[in-house]
This record gives sequence, structure tokens and C-alpha cells, in this order.
Amino acid sequence: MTDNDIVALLRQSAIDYLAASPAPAAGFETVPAFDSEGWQGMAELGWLGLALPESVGGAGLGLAEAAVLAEQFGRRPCDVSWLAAALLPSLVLGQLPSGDARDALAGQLATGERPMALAWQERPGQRDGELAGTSLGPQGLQGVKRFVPSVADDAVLLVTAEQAGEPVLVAVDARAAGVSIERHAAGLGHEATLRFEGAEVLHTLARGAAVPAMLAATLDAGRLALSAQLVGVAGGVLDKTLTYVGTRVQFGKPISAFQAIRHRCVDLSISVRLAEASLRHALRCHANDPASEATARAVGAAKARAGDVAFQVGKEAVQMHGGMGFTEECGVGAYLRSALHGRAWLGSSLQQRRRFMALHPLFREEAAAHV
Amino acid sequence: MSEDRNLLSDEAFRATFRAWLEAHYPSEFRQDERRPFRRLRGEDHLRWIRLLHRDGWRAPAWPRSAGGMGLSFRKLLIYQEEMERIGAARIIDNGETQLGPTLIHCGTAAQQQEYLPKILAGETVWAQGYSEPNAGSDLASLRTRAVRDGDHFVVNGQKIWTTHAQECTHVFALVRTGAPGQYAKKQQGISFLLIDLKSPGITVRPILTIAGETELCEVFFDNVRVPVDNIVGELDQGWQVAKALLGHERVWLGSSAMAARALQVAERVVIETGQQHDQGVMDRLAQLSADLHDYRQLYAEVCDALAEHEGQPGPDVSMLKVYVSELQQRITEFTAEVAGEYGGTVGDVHIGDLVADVHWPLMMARPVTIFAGCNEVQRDVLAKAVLRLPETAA
Repeated sequence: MTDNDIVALLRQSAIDYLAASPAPAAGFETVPAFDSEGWQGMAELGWLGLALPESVGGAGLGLAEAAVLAEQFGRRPCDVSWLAAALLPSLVLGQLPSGDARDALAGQLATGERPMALAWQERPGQRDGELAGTSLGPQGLQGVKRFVPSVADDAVLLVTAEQAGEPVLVAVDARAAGVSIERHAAGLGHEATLRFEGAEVLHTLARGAAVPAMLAATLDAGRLALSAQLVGVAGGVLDKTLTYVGTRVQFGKPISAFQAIRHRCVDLSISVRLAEASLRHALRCHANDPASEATARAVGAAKARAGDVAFQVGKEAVQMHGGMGFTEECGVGAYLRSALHGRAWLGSSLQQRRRFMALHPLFREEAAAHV
Repeated sequence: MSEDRNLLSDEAFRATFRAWLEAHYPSEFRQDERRPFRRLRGEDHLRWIRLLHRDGWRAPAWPRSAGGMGLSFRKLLIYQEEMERIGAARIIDNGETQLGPTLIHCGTAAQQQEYLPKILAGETVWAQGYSEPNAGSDLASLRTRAVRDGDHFVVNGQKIWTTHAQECTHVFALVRTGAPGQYAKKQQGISFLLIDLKSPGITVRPILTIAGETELCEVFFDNVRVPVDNIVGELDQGWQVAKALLGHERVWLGSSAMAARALQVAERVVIETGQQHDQGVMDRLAQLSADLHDYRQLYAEVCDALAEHEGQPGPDVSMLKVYVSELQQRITEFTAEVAGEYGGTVGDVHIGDLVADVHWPLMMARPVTIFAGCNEVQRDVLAKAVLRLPETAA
């Protein structure tokens, strides 16, 4: 099979599977739980180990294929479970040298036996390489990790921490004593705050300078997949809106006959084209050299663009659906909610654009102080 | 016949053209902070195109059989990129970009022999006579009339927005030749006519623009006699002739070069005023910078797709001009704002080491959303031809 065949098959299987999956429930009264049934479905489709090496049961595919899948999650729309509980952990595991602990975890991830989560962040706006308070000592793991989406009760948590002044990456069983999980609704699913109070670690997977480097690489790859999901959100809700304005009749004609609507639809479609182009450019940069400054700039631009465009199209979709758009039943609100979360997670548009600017040749020093 | 540069590899072509430009491009013609969208006029214009012609770099898109370079679309892109890289001033060269391709496509052999070599050599300079006071975006409403009288047409009427007409030798015009009531649609009965601007009865009056330039003119026709052989294509079929040449023009209109120049001025003004430490200013500059960055990716994608298929651009390329023209405006507006009190100055300002003009680029960016099909009309076209939004109930 050629790369194009793989992409086409992957896209079609995602479209088919997601069309049959239940629509996301709003988290107004109950916090959406981790979807274990959906998880098994994705395991059977081979999506959980998509980016893992074939030697540990993965599909050995790359970020371009991950982006194809993520875009379809956005078009449905879905929460970020696949990205948070499968892709990000698999990118971490894929960077670790082969070994018993790594191989076992990778196998458990690919088969769906254990959902995982990457817990790296203590506070909003945190920089990728920054350690901010979680520590590993004789009394076990101590600290609070935030903004971790889609944490299953039985997840394996991949946690960054500091041990005697050195960064470490450890695996922790979410069910272990000293671990508490506090979930709140976020986007179309939930995010968790993870509290570690003397939790025991299963494995120390890496230590030293490799940890921040691995984390930075994972987060940038994750940002690209998230950008793809946001491009899917924008494209999905734009299509829904174009169909709606073409069929909704008022004053004896479809509202798409009115120039006020037509011109805004054109602007939204141009925005979506920009977001797609920015994402494809960043994916190409990443394929050439994932760690270059050019890639960092392109990722920052793509994430900011995709988040902002998804939000822009989402809110315009609510407006163009009129009163119906304000109802939860209509479904455009779910896209907007998804855009709000994706835009914020893994670095806001504002933060990612500042990062893009911090690498501008003329403003390197001035801007770097703020990022 | 000159060397066929289309046979060079893309890299070799780029290197050859770059080296030639660096050796020959007159430094006083380059764009700068005072004139980021500089356009050559009069003798400067002629000097430059004659230099291109002398060394075989003229008419890159024309076929070699017509005296052009016969470049592939990919090499045309490289040609544009290298011109932009060196900061070459823009030139309005309707003979090369519009009339030449039209004659090659629709003209008679006699017309081609008569006009093409003179365009290449810079002996004739052509104006485009399309718009009229009551036919702008709605061009087909034009009323300038040509009535047959023996082996001549007698032309009466008025054209407007005719760029550089005071420096041109000829104009190609759309004129109404169909008799009143002869055709049902206003696009019918229009002819494409070549007119010598020295003909008796022609008056050219320059128009002062809000940028302080006299680039645009009115052209009045008072019983102007034009030989009937000067019709291009069929009588009364001029609308089709004019439409056929649009082709890649809409792609070039999407070039990010002017927005990029404007952004360089904005960056210089931010630095010279010490505002690189102001996070509010920097966030806005970052937005504009990211807008340009992402737009360049979109433009490159569209151009790559065209180069790969060597096809004609579809209606969706109009989105390029819509976005980039408005981006160019936003950038020049930002510059005027962050220039503080200098933002009100008409003409040069001296800020630190920088000599810039914030007024001229802002004013020069205004018509970019108006000419070549105003952005409102472009959006109408995109809504209909690309998004296919219904206008009546199914």
C-alpha cells in the first residue's frame, strides 16, 4: 500500500466509526467519564498504537497519519481522549529506548488494556521544559498536575517530576495509594487535576536532560495533532453551517441568498483554508526536522491559527443558526465548546503566537523575555 | 533566438536570474521604507523593460515563438520571487501581461507581427481601457460606443481609472459596437479595440489620488477614428476576448510581496520607537506576522497545485486577493497607529535612523481592495462559484 492508500483507508474507517458513535454529552450536570467502550473500539481499529513502533504492537505510522485521524475526531466532533490518552503517551513511549518496562507499557497501550495520560503541567501557561513543583523523594511522588484530559480510573500516568534537582519521568498507577483524581468538565469531555501525596511509582522511565527534550518533542507533535483536530472542528462546523443557511428559508428565500450571510461564509471558508495550509506547512517542517527552530515557529503559528479559526467558525455558526444555534440540541454549540478547549489546551493561541514571535530574527531577545 | 532558459533546472534558473538581477537591477528603483510599493513610471519604466529585453528576461509567460521566455508556471513563480527578493519596484506593463497574451490567443497574424515586437522592445506602452464612470465592478454596463463609418470606427465616450495613460502610447479598450436593442444581454455587442492615443479627439486627464499620486487617468474619446482592422477577435465578441486573458492574473494579484514590504516597515517603526518592549504592541505585530506567515503557506499551496497540473486557476484563487489585500491594509494601519504622533504626517518622517512615510503606504493600500474586482464582488463570486450557496429555495 502507498502512503496515500493508508491515509485514505484511515480517513474512511474514522468517518465510518465516528458516524456510528454516540454524540458527546454536555457536561453541565455530570462530569463526562472516560469512555471505556469507545476505547475498546479504538483499540480494535488499531488507533491506540498508531504512532507506536511495530516492534511493540503499534502501527508504526507517523504524525501525518495521526493528523488525518485527529481531523476526523474534530469533524464529528469528539473529545480529545484519543489524543490525550493514546497519542501523547505513545509519543513519549516511542522516544524511550527499548526495555522491559517501556515495551510492556507500550503493549498495554496498543491493546487497550491500559489507557494512559501524560501529566506534565502544574500551572497554566507553563513552558514546555519547565519543572514546577512536582517532586520524587523517599516519601514517593508529591505534587499537583493540572489540565490532564481524559483520565481513566485505571490509567497509567506518565508524570514528569524532579528528583534531587534532576528531571525524571515516572509511570504511576492511577489506582495507587496517594493518588487522587479530581475531574471537571472541559470541552466535550473532562480534564483532571491529579494530586500526588506520597504516591509510589511503578517505573522511572527516564532521567536527566532527556526528559525535558522528550517532553518538548511530544508536546509539539501533540500540538500538531491537536491543530488537526481543531481544523476538523472548523471544517465540520462550517460544512454544517453552509448546509443550514442553504436550506433555512426566511422572507421567501434561503438565508444563504442574503449577502450578509454569503460574505461571512466566504470569510470563514478562507479562514479554514488558511488553517489547513498553516497546519500542512507545520507538518512538513516537522517531517523534515522535528526539533528545528523553523518547526517550532511553524507549530506555534499552526496551533494559534487552528484554535482561533475553530473558535471563529464555531461562534459564527451559532449566530448563523439563529435561535436554534443557541440550543444544545442543535449541535453547533458542541463544536464551539470543543474549539474553546482545543484552543486553550497545550498552550493558548496567545502563548503560541508569542512563541512564534520569540523566534522572529528581529525580535528574538525582546520577545523571548515574555515567553 | 535567445537561450531557452526553460531548459534550466529550477535551481539553476533561480541562480541565473538572481545573479543577473543583482548585477543589473538599478539600486535607485528598489522599494524602501518611504515607498514600499514603489512603481516605476515613464522613463524609469522604459529603461527597466529595455534592460530586461536586451538580456532576454522579457515576457516570461509568452511563448518563445512570440518572443517571450516560454517559462513553466513553476519558473514564473521563481521569476516573481526573485523580483520580490531584490525589492524590485512594481511595473504596470499591460502590453506584456494582458494585450500580448490576448493577441497570441485571439489576434490575427498581422496584429501579432505588428504589435508584439514593439511591446517587447518598449516602443509601445499600452493602457487598459475598461472601466467607465458608470461601469466599474459592473463592467458590462460600459457605454463608450464605436460606430462603423467605412473602414473606420468612430469612437465616443469616456474611460476612467486608466493607469498611467498619460505615459502610454496606446490603449486597448472595450467599446460597445452592437446597435441599441440588438442583444438581450449587456455582455453581448462589446468589441475589443486597439486605439492609438495620439489619434485626434483623445483627451487624457490625470486624476490626483489620496496618496498624492497621478497614476490614474480619465480618457475622453470625441469622434476618434480607429481602423476596423484594430478589432481583436470577432466583432461584438470582445467580452469573451477580455475574459480569456484573466488566467494567471488572479494568481499574481494574490502575491504577498506588498504585504511583506508593509510588514517590514511596521517592524522598523516598532523598533525605532522602542515599542519592541511593549507586549500589547508586540502581540498585535505577532498577529499580523502570523497572518502573513500562514497566508504565504496558502499561496504557496495554491501555486504548487497549479504548477503541478499546469492548469488554469479555478474560481477559488480569488480568495487570495481578498485576504492579502485586506492584510496589506491592516498592516499599514497598524504602522500608522504605532507611529504615534508621526501617524498624522503627510510625507517623510524621521524616527531614529529610519526615514519612512506612513501616510503613503496606508493610502496606497486603499485601492487594493477596490481594483481588479472589488472585494465585495470577489466575495459574491466566491459564494456563488466556490461555496455554491443557494440564492433561491430548492
